[in-house]
Amino acid sequence: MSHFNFKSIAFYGTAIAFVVVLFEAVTAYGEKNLKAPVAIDGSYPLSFTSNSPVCLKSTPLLLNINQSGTYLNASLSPKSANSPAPTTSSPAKATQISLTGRLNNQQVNLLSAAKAKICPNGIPPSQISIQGQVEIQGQEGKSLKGNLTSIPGDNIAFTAQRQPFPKKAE
Amino acid sequence: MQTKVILVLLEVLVVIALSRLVGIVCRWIKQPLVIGEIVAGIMLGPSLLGWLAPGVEAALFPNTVIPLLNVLSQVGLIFFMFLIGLELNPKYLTGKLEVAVLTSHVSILVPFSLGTLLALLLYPQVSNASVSFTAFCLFLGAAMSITAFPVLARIITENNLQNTRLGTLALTCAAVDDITAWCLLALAIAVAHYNSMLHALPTIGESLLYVVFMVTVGRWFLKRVAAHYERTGRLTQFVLAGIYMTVVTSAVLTEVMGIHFIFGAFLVGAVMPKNAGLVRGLAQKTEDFVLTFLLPVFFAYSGLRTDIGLLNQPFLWLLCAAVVVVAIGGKYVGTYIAARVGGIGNREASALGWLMNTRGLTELIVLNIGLSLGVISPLLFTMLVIMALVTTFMTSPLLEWTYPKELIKQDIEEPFETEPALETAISTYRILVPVSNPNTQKGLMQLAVAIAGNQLQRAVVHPLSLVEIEEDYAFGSTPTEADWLIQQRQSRLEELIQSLEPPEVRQTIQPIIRITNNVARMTAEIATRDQANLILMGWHRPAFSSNRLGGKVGQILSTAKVDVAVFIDRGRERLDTLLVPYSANIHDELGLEIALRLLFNGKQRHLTVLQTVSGDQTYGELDYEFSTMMEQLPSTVRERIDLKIIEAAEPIHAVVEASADFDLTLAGTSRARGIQRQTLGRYTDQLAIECRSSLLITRRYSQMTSNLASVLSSSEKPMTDNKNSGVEANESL
Repeated sequence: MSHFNFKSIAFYGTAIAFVVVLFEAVTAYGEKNLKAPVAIDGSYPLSFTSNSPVCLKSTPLLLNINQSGTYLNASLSPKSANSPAPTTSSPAKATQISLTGRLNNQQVNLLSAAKAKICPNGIPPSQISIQGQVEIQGQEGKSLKGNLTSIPGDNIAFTAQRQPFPKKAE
Repeated sequence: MQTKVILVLLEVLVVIALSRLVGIVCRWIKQPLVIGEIVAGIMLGPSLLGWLAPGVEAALFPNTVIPLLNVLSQVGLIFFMFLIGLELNPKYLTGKLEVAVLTSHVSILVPFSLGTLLALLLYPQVSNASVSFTAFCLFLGAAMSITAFPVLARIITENNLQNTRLGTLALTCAAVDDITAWCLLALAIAVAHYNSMLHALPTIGESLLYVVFMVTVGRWFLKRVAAHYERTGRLTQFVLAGIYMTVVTSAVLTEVMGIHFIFGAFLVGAVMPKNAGLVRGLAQKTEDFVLTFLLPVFFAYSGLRTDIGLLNQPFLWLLCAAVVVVAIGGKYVGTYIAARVGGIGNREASALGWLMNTRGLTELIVLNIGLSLGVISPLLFTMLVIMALVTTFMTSPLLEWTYPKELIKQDIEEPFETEPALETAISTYRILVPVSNPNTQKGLMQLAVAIAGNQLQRAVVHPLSLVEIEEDYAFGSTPTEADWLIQQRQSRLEELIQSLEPPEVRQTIQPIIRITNNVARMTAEIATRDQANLILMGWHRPAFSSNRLGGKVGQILSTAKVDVAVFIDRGRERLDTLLVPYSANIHDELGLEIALRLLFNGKQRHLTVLQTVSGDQTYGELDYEFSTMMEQLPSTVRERIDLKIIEAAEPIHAVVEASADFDLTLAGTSRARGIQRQTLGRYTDQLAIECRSSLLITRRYSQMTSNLASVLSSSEKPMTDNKNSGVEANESL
């Protein structure tokens, strides 16, 4: 017990008490005042409402959004009937268009990392951007309504219903 | 399904190969293996492979087989946690427990508090509304507070610190830290499940009850298993199956309770009676497959979820830096202040602060649980993985910087050897003899004591026994097990020393036993540090090299900054007739010097110096230095030296033929004969095969300091003046 004297015990007790009080205060403040962005990660099969190119009518697009708070990483890929549903928040694969962006006040803004083409036509590749508004429907349901832009001024309106990623295995 | 299995097996192949490869690089830069394994995992994921070749990554790790990989990694994790619990020996909780408990807990409280405050900044940025702030806060605090006991224990063992004041204190702190941090994590998981502290209370209560159950009923059951082992003396597959079933059952129960698989497995290991034989047997049977096969899969699985590309903005790197600074600062400051309050010195407290910062694998386990539960986002997961890497990577260099090994060794609590005193180090002729197997190296030791003698100057022989650690988490590299191995080596070395004749030579022997993960490098370091004059090695045939003198011998030859002699023992017990093939190069001179030492130390010994010349050389060219040296020899020695000059087109054949009449041939290596410095080369290789006597191959380190006369000037002075003569001799070498 050479060093476990009153000074040590007092120091120990004070330290623990301080941390408990600090934790209580911080969590109380955080629960009351801090708002994290709504969870929107999942798969969004895009349905185009009007004036969409022919290629999108035959092969609809799937938008996978991986969310880390307000930071979004997404991939846009053709949705084929027999393609398996994504099971993890895995990164963009070879055939996908990668997009990054932010979520602010339920407003989604995504921009492709490199120039790409949505349809295999003669138009040269350009930056793809997606702007949309998240709409909350009940506890889990969320939908995304917005515009996809492949060349400046060419907005293609879409709506999409969120399909959450399957719960990750522990 | 069959295709999936084939793919998983291919993935495992790639993972194991890359883990080992990067692990070797980490060993080379003196870093723990765990760094290599984590980095290998990250390399296979989106951070490198997915970035460079997304198609290859998608083909190698498709989403459909990831769950199978996850199952393998979880099984590995369960048994790894069992091993961690198993090695948590109460013995670690005996040294300065009071200070350790205080230091350990404050070293958790400070980073936990800072993590809590950091959560205020991070939660709105990198979390989402489905996670409560309390759960996020608890998890971040727990992640900041971790110290990886297994990695820290290996760093301590590898640095031979397990018997120092700092080492024992750090181990006790880390053990207390480990238990506390797991409790904190269990709490965090329970809260994360329910997103509320209040709703988690039943889970917390159940968990506490389960701990009590395991400590009482579980331990009672395992004590009976230990008693059965004591009776039979062996660990049967039946008993092993029973223990594994207990591990799995306990893991499932804790998972069902709402904490995690790993706690159940850890608990079984922790409450297992620490019967040395049972624990050793159990660890050895379990660890090989788990550590070499399953654990790299866990690292790969973790690496697949780590995407450094997510940090795609300067602000995110700033957040990452904040996470790293808070983790390092919190742990260091907490440990330092508590240790100082506990009465620990400034330097030791600082070193302890760096040691407790080791997070390694334990952090990775915590982070993966957090990511799976959705409490931390992929971005925060990546930041925390970087933090784990940085904190583990920095430990060894910062420890060495704050508290150099030489200073730590002054605090050794239970010295197991006599370290050479600094003031005598210079005046003494020191021979370092690496002894890998004391049972077969009596001839080498006998030669060492014969060279050392005591006629010229004070001499010491240091048999060097290095206990090699190959695996980071292997049970054999835990501090208690390392101590056991050292004791075993010590007793075997002692047997060897006691078998040497005449008995008085035993007093000149001071064994050195060390733990290392690199025999060649450690040998070279000890030789330099202890100012050895000569490394005398036995001949080891390398397993994977055609070079006869390759392997560790070759590595020591290329790294040691002192003279080296390699002994090829032909089993001749006597060392009375000596042959030195002499061609006036510095390596031959070393051979001649050693031969002269043998002559001085044994009046019955005779030396023949053999000079071979070919047609274009004259006798006079060769023997000027030699004849000068002969004049300086005392007559009692000179009269036992014969000079033999023969003409031969192939010197090697002449030497081989002459060697048949001698007990020992001493031959220097030579560049002139096309011999490479690292391996001794073709000529010596041939000599090693064909020489008919025992052979000592000599290589002088410094080409600038060759001087045979120093030995002779030593011999001209009486032993009472051997300090001065020793200095001269050393300066000459």
